[in-house]
Amino acid sequence: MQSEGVVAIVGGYASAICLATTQAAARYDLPYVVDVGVTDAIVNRGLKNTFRFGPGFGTVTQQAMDNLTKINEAAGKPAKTVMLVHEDGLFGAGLAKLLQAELPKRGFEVLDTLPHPTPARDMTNIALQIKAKNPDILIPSSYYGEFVLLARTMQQQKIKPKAIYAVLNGAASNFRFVKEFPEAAQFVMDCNHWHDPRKPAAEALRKSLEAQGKFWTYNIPMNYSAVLLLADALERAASTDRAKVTEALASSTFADHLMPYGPTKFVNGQNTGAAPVNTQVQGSDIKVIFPAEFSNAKVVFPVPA
Amino acid sequence: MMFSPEIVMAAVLNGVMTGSVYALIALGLTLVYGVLHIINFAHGAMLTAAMFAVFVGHAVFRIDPYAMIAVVAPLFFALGYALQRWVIGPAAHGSESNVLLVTLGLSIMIENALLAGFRSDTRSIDVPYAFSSLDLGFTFLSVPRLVAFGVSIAVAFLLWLLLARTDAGKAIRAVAKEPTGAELVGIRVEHVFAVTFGLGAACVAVAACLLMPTFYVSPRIGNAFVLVAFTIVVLGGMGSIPGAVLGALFVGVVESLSGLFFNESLAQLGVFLIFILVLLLRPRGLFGAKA
Repeated sequence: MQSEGVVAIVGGYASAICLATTQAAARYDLPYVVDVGVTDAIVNRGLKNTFRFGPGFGTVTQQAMDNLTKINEAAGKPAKTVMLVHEDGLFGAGLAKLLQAELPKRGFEVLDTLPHPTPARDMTNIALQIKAKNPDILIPSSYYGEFVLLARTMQQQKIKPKAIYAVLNGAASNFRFVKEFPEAAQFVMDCNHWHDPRKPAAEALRKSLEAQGKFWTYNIPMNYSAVLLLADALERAASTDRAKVTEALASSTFADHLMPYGPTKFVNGQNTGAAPVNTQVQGSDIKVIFPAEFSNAKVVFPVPA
Repeated sequence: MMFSPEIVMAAVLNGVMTGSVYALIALGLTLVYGVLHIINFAHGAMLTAAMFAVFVGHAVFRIDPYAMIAVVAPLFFALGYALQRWVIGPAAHGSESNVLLVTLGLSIMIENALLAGFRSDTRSIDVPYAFSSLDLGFTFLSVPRLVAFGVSIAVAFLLWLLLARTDAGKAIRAVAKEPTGAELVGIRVEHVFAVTFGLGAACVAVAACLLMPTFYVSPRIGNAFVLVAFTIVVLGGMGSIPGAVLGALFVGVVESLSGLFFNESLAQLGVFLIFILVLLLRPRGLFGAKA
């Protein structure tokens, strides 16, 4: 790409890829807009070329716990106990550790924390333990396959907590899951990236994609917005000079994106306007339920038995 | 940590159910080892390929995964036969260590072909009976897993009958014991090798049909099952069919219980502890013949 004279890169899609590619691009002072990649190390290394449009792990988890507390309070505090199920890799274990420390401060009792490997061959034991402990809320942090397996096993064992509240979950805001297992997916909540459903441009993009028979995922508006953000910076820089584009990105106030964020403002490469939202599977759709200013549906909590 | 007897009973039952599917996968492995004296590293990739075949059968042709047994079992028998007869056998040049590399290469090829064809997405199928269960009072027993148990045991029994009671079985056993001698009495050794490999492939194909109603498939998922199948084969005795079945049920229960009492991430701990103990104390396995 260096020899081809590339001006900027948008992409990454996964934390591990972003970590390696942003560093490689930094060697050539190549501006890099990260679309999806939540590890905070992406922006904590002081790379001048790296700009993350979306929120990082710290922001998402903080927001996830704040939102959960608010949702519970608004419903009259029906939930007191929580159980955590997590994949035992960096992502799941890190998240579980954080939740274990933070949830009790917010008045939730963590009954148990159950790790599982990826791939997991069977989730029955985990389901049985959830059944025995009977938590009000289940917080799963697993990848797609394992979460679907868990949700299906819970349905089979007829386990119904007051809520399944996922954080950055691979399945809970995935239309494939909703379409293939509508019963298991019903009312599952997630705190994750999602487009702003009130923005006509976002909905139009979603319609055009679904018309092609493809599943809508949050990666699409994230990537689309990141490209728009870069296009805006290129126009303002009015140059293909990398330093000028980097400068234009650093001073960006771009607001015409598809995400539920305010105007873009980068501090040390992180867009401080970025924040996750809470989604919930309702019927055959994934609705934004929290915060209220971006929502297009009311939260269903506790889940009807 | 203490659990109520209900949960422990449910976990044991669950272990038996899971173990029965392991048995089917281990059967293919042990059969191929017993006769060809090779460790088939492509076993996991073949399982994945069979799972994708079941997935496509359901997604495109709307064929029920159980009905797919009638399609994929013969198909994979033929594939396995062809692979051994025209790829693995000739490439081995008479050396068993070559076979190891050939099967390893095959597994990489199959996995990457699946990755290219299906991408790394996780896929699953939805059948109306996926969630049906029997209420046993202390737990809900999943019907698809009960079916998997029944079919696995039936296949193991049929395989045993085939080996013990038929001429083909006699030929396979003869080749396993003494290939040169078998050739001298007119048994086509190459053909028997290929049939055995085909049978092993058919076993994983059946396992794939039993897994798909409740499990998911992605291009590398087969390996999750094959590592445990290797353990079972060693535990039961390399080449022993009853050993593979009992070993698998045992490993299923141990894994389930250690998952419950330690945690799921450490479930393999119990399994590999037994593995090491068996290697130390009884290296030929529980049912293995003396070397």
